[in-house]
Amino acid sequence: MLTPRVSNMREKLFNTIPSITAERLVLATEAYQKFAGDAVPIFRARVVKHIMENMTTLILDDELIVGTVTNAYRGATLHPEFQSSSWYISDIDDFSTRDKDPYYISPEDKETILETLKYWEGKSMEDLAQTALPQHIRELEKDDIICVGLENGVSGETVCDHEKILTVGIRGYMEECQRNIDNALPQTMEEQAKVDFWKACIIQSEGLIAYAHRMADEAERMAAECTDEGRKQELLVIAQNCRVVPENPPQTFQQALQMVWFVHVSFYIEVCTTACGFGRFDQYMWPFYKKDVIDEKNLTREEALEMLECFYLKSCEVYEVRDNWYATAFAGYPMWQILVVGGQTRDGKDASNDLSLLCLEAADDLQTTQPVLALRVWEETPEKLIQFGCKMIQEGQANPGFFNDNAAIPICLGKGRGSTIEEARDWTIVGCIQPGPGGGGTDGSPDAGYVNMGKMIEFVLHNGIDPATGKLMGIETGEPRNFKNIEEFKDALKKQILHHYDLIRTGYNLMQSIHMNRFPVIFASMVTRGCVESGKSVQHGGAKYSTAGLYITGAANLADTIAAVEKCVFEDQDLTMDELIQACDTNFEGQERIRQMLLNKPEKFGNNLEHVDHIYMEMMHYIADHTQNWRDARGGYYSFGIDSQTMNIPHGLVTGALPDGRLAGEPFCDAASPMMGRDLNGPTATVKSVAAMRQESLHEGALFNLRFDPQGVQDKKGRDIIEGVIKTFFEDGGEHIQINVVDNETLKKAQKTPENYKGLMVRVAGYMAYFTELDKSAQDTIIYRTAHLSQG
Amino acid sequence: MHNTPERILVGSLQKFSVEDGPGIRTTIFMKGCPLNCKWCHNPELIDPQQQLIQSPGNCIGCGWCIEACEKGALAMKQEEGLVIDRTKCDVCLACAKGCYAKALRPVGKEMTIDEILRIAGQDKGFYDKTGGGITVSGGEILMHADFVNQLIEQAGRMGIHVCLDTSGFGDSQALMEMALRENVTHILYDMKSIDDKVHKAYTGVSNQRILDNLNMLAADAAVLDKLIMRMPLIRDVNDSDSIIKRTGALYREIGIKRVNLLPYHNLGIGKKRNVGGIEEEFQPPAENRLAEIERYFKEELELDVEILGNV
Repeated sequence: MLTPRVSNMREKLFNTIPSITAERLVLATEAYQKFAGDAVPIFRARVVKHIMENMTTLILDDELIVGTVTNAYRGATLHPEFQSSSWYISDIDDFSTRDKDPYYISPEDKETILETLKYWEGKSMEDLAQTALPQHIRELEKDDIICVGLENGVSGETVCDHEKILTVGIRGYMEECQRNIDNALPQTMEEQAKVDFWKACIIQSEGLIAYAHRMADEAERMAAECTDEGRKQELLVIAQNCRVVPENPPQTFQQALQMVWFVHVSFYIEVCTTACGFGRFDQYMWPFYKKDVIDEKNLTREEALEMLECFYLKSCEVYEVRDNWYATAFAGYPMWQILVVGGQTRDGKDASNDLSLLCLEAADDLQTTQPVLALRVWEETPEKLIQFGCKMIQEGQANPGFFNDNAAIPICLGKGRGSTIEEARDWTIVGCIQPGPGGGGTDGSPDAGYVNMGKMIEFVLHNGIDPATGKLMGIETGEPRNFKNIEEFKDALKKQILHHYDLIRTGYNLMQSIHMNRFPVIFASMVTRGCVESGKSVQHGGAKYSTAGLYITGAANLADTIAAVEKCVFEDQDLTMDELIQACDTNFEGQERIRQMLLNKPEKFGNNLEHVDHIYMEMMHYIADHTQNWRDARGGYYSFGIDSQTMNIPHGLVTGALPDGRLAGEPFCDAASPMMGRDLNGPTATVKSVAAMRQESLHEGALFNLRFDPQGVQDKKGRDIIEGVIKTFFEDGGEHIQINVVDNETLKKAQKTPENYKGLMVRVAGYMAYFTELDKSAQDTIIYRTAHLSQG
Repeated sequence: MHNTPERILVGSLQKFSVEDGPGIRTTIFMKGCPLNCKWCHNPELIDPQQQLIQSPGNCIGCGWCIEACEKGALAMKQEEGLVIDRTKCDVCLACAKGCYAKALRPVGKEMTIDEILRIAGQDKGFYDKTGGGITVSGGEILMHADFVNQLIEQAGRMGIHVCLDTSGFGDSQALMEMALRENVTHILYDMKSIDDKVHKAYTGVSNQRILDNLNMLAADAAVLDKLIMRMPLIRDVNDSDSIIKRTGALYREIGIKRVNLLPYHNLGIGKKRNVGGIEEEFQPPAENRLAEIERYFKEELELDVEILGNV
């Protein structure tokens, strides 16, 4: 049950369209002109400090935790240092009307923005990337064949060393930096760079403390004017909190929440970052919760829950403005602010506590898209915690995501290189599903790039030529009509794929190098373990562990294509390679029978069929084994994972028909899931297939979304079934699973485009049928039934 | 010992069956049933012989099958699409072999016990965590009694629990042998109508043998614990007060503890048409009548009652 306060705040959230405001842009532009000339880290820090000293101090009604990124509620900022002013200007009228992730801009702000952006013409990282990247890489990007990260944003994905900051406060970091400066007498460029970095940390910390004190002033001002005695007291507590944190260690649960929020909001004020996680929240917050709620009883559990919910609602107020393309690729304003609970302690005991459960309860109460809950599961995870998670899934919340300690720990030992078992057990999510060792201290920089598997297949079928443009875009892997067996086909694919990951490496190392020299991110580096110690920013490899993620779209389409070519061209010789290429090139026009053969005769990934599942594993491991020893520009390692987000849609859009029977333009499979409509043997078979790939070797993990019909998972029995599925998946080595209980909307779509929903099973006692094979009337009955159930 | 056939026709192995016994299960649907219930929701599994089933929604109209059919049993009609003349069709399945779209396919697949358990065994991890297993269903499993008995035995050696789903119409000794097996944990036993006239009229057979077998099973304390009565409920056919009360009296007499109520649903109708049968539609009991029946079993007889498949 939501309290009236939280209920009001939640309603306001849903009723407010995010907006873009001019304030940060104007302040940053002033500062750029004012401070130009300082060493880069110091210059960047002064810019951010200037913003924090002058930005609006906004405290909203009902809030218990305060701090905003901009001068507007649900306000988003523009970062022309990173993103090109050219699309800001060209898209400015579209922002408010576009279908995907719109933002409101007031006429006054629009005018100011357009005026201010004049200064930024051609100055952004994004503009620079366009001239710095080799032409071939740019063309591949333009055609959606690969994409390279860091071109218009920062590496992001910061997970603060919360435990340390809650212990020493920002003041502790400043003192540490000052000691390092005092002890240094630079004799080389590298040594001077360290001093500059430490100085920058101090400057930016001063900015944040100034902002917090200004918030305290504002709270006091509001308290003085407030006629409601209750709210007045709350404002005074807020003021007091803002004077204590973030400068000093928090004394109360509320101050600890305020500390975590101040740190978090600073990330977004400094740069256009994304996917900054809350780490192992139930661990570092536990001492404060225990003191206030359990030991000293200063707070009731309900009061703590309300504060936690206020904190969660703040996480719904941060954005990264994306251009139209990225707004489609990453639709739904996702910010991937993952909050991790459960799992084990550094010494291998169960880590969960009452706060773990409270974190799930808050998410269950609010049902907002942020933060995203991650529940770490291992043998000792209490039944009560898992069951609560399963209850949320059962209700169709698709939250929390479940993560397997027994997969993530080996992943961390592998990717961490030198990570201790204690650090590996203390893993947290860095990014969206990627485990990183050391609970704050790993800089993932996860988005190094994606390769479009559909295009790799097209290149092999056309000896390197992209059929969409007729240009030689890939490498020449030989005339496919001369391939004698499936091994030659697979080898050609492997060459194309690896070549394109290598191009990402080239592009990404180049981007990283530019970031090092121009855009070291100061505050996020300071709070990442290793950076203050080494005197280097995250961009320079200062974090204790540095990796860069390589991702894939169309993994299942790749495996299905190989299986189809093997079966229909080489084994059964149903058609020649030439006929297959012709059929794909013409999008199977007039050749529906061939397409049906390719769709239904060969094995498809996701049905617990050994051969095709093995092909899938072989290809994924080939990529992982070859890329995971590559080094990035700052000395980190590349790591590979199966995660497409919604990139499977734009990548599918530009890709022609494929030998697996997929039509031109259709989306690819979602992340590590089977291709839509091909999971014909039910969820348990899909789970077995996805788990079969030995996920512990994939350093970025594998994102697995699974869908259930609500009919199958009702009541206590249904919860047990969900739990059984998760645990079996984990026993088999799966890293991550997110379960969506199928909704009415899906069924309606299945009625309209049955081919994409072939695996949708109707399960009624003793009765068996595929949804798409039912009469329209029977489908309608089930739609009615499901609608009924999901309301219940 | 009879000669056990090496293979039988299996309609499908349905993984993740969650309404055919406890936990996550794989249901093995066997083809062939001596009953012919007019409301049957798996009508394609009645005939013990192989059949050709049509899924008109899948047809792409390529016409390949018409060429492939040497009997001239297939034709493409303007409005109806592909039409099968069942009088000419001898189920040679030449058409289905090349129908990649699966608009025409055989109902059953011949499978050995090893083949069945290889696939069903893939989900053992799920069974173990949820108290599930395999459910042997049909059709009527007693038509394949020896095969089923061996299947259960072999499943037992793999540590897999079995649930039987039967109409009870079949050989008593074979049924008892199955029921007593240690790894058979649940028996879903149909009670279509206690009134023999109704039973004969709607299922084509007398219920005498079914009731005798039920009495026999219930008389063994170990087997009694495994029994769950499954009652399809069809409005104005078997939902009358007298039928329900007589059924209740029998349950009380023999010590039944658990009942599943399965109100009629019409999802089998399309399949009946697709195997060339004549459709007949029924109605589920009115909502309040279903509630009354549930209450009667729950409160008056103090049974454990579950309503399943209520669409």
